[in-house]
Amino acid sequence: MAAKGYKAAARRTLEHAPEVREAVTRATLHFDRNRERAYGEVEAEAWRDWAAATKRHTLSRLDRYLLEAERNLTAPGTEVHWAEDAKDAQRILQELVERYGVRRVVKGKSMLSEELGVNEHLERLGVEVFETDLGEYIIQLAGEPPSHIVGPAIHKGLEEIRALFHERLGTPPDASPETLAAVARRVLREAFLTADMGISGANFVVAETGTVVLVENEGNIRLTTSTPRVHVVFVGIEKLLPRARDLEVFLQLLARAATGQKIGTFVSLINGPRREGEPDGPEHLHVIFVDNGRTSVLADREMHEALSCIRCGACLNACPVYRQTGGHAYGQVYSGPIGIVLTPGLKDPRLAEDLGYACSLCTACADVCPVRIPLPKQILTWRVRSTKHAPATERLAFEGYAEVMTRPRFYRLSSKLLRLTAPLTGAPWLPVLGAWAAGHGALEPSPKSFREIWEEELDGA
Amino acid sequence: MPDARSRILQRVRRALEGRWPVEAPTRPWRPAVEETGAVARFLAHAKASGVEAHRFEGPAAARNWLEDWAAGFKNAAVSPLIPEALRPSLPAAPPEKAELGVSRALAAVADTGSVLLSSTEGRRLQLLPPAHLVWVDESEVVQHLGEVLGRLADDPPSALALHSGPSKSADIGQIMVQGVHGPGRLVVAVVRGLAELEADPTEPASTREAPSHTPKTTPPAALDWEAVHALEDHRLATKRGDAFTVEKVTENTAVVRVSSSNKTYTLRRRCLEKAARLASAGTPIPGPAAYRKLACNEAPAYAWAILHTLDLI
Amino acid sequence: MRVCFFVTCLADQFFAEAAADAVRLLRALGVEVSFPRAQTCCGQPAFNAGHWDEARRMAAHTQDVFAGCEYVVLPSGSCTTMLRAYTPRLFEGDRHRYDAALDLAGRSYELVEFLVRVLNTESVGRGLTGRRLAYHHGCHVSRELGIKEEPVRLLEAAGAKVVPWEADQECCGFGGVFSVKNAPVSLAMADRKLDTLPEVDALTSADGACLLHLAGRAKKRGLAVPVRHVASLLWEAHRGG
Repeated sequence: MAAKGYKAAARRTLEHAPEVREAVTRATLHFDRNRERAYGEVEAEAWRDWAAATKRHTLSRLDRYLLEAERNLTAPGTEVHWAEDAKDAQRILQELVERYGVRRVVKGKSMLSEELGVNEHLERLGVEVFETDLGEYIIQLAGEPPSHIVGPAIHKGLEEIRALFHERLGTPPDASPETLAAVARRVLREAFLTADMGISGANFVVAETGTVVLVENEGNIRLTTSTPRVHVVFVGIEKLLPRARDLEVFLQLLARAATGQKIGTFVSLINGPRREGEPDGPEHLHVIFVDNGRTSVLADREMHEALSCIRCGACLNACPVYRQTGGHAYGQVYSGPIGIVLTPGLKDPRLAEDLGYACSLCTACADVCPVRIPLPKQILTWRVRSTKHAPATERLAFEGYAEVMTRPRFYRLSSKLLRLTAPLTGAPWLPVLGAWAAGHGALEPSPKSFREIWEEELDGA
Repeated sequence: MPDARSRILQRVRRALEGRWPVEAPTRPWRPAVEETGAVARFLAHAKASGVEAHRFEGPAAARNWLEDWAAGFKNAAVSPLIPEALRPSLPAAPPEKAELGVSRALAAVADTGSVLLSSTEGRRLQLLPPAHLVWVDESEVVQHLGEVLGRLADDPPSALALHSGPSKSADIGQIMVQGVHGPGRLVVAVVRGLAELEADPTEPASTREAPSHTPKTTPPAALDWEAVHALEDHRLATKRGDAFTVEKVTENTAVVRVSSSNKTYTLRRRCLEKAARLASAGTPIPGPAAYRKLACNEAPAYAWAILHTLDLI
Repeated sequence: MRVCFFVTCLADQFFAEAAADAVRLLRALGVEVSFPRAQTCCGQPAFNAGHWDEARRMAAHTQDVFAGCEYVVLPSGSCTTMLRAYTPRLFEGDRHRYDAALDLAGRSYELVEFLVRVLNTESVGRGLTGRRLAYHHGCHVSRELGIKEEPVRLLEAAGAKVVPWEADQECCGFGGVFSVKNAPVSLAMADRKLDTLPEVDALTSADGACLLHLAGRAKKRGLAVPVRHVASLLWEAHRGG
């Protein structure tokens, strides 16, 4: 079996699937440039401050806002459920599937449903599931998880998607993107009109009004939440906003951060099941509030700000590490900077021992995050927490390093040693430098250290 | 045994224990205001997002355009909210078969180039046909997104939606494709006087005059705005008995504050006048629902109560 | 004006001539430069790797070495960032050391930053006329210290043309411990920089570590990329005009 973890997967991707690096780099640079332009058109700094403060406020009163949301959701006839973890969520979903005799489900893109294993569970129940976002549909056909929060299939180039559609749907091997999209539309249109249940996530839930808010560009989420007779919403407990007015900022900031648009092409503001006199819409609306590790993150004084995340993907797009491999190398639902910060908190702190180092600490993510999550700082905090499980050689190396660097005489001695041994061995006086040599060639110290130059030439000059 | 709900809430409370509560930003967020008017700004932003946006000086001009434009379609699914004059002369079809869906927007937003649609008219006709035509009254075009979000607190329909362009996706190799699931064409027509057309059942179904050149003859207002001014600081109650105060009356609006929630709503003079006119012409407006249908879809409970207090309905 | 020169361990060993050029330049501009002998490493390698106990020991040593200096100037943006932004975080539980860290942060400057913001230098000379340069914006220098325009301005004032480079703001992939723990990704990042690099006479930066990484990678791939520390270029600019 192949070695696990980011380190091994990243190496494999770079060695065996170089086309992923190319596709992901192109897509993320495109997203990031659009984001930069869109931030430049408005007072982005002030917007980000405002949004960050609103999110921090909401989280600091989360219990109150959850209850307010529950009250206002329930009033027009929406049923509210609570799930502590994936098993809980699956059980609730199973009850609903049985209650309504569901055979066919259409799904809008939802990262939370990936966390909860919704598709696998529905398939076990014999329910047919259609991912309806075009990117999600592509990776469902390919049997892969999403590799990016906003663009789930950005790791695939046009050629790969052509081949996939050719094999699975019989399109010509050189079909245009328009043709491919039209074929997907036909298949999924049929699914929309025959499904018994639509499943979506939620970008926001407004506590004041009990409104479920969804943002998208294709219209598949509007269809998912409008055509089947049952609509089920999975929503993380951190997705609340206090007031409807708050959406004014968040809808615009989310779109600008994610893709550089002014607003998502379709915004659904769902207030309840179909009302009397309305010609269509689902008769039953279920909202499932999911914890699945979020309360642990909330309790973590150094990580709780990560719950402000609005899943725009801007940190992934800005991340030069993410660009080399795409999201699959992280081996988790959430990848990129926010994935590194959230995953150990949601699942298992020991995941940070591997994920925490999938970062060069370049801080580009902090520059773009619309809700100012201190991602580099938090990634470093995970590293600090991980060092107690670090390999003995690593700990010894840093202890030795500190010994040398706090004793100027040792330091000067090492400096001389470096010059003596480097030409012979590629400078293995610290174990780390051996690894360096493989990708860079041997380190070449300056012929004389600065200290020597100073003493010979500059001192007293 | 406590259930999942109480266990989750318990964990949330424990996590927040001893933590300083963070206040919400006190300074209200202000969107950037651009120099141009709402309609021009809306049209520019909508066009930039791929909307085919039009502006008409009156229903007659809109009707003229519609006749030519709609001739390209075989059939249509048309919202019941659309006045006769602006319904295309096409055979009706269910949304899943129709080539064209026709909607009546509640509002349009200049900030984002969006139209606000309601599930009251049906959602499928907004989504299933490959082309979507949306009518909106010029007076309902606002500058900022925040101006329409109040509707969420005001007894909203099951779903409101903002549409800001044709359905699109770049999921196939970053190449933009239109019409992936929803309509591949979004056509928005801003019409001056659309709301009056709806309110006045005597207007001929398809008028051919060019009202933009003839001076508008507004019937004398049945509503004395001074009487509304006089209600300032008065405490009133809705038909259901919810107490509210008329907080401030300006040249064109009246702001009310609801006692129980402390929320404020803005009522437009134009809407109140329209309802009063209809009532004086004999149209019964027995309650907020009728006000909403005949006049305006904004805070009808309070608007109706004001007109009722003034003995106009 | 008197400054203490903090050469930093990396420049001491690998960019010794560039560091010497920094001293020569400062002196040529009338600055009195001293070199506290007990200095070693700012502690950043351990800090970024998460080994904060070790980082603290090195940071404390550095504090003591530079305690009496009016200004501390470093030919390394990354190490300057350590003193300015990171060291205080190491001492959040230690009032005395924390205050000392803030005090040192207030006195520490990256070389170019010192030239432009303290000495108000607009030009060091015209000795780079006709030279085509690519400037790599090190992450720490540009994002943590906010030094973006200054180096480019000084280089252009010296007559050089700093050519547009689509990846000039992107991370080179070094990242200290990252380059060891995830070497293939780190190298792929360097490759992206090198593959987009325009035709230039030299690739330069205010951060030696980035240059070491990029130069090593270029050499391994057999690319001829002349790498010069910005301190050397500025000294050359001064001498040549």
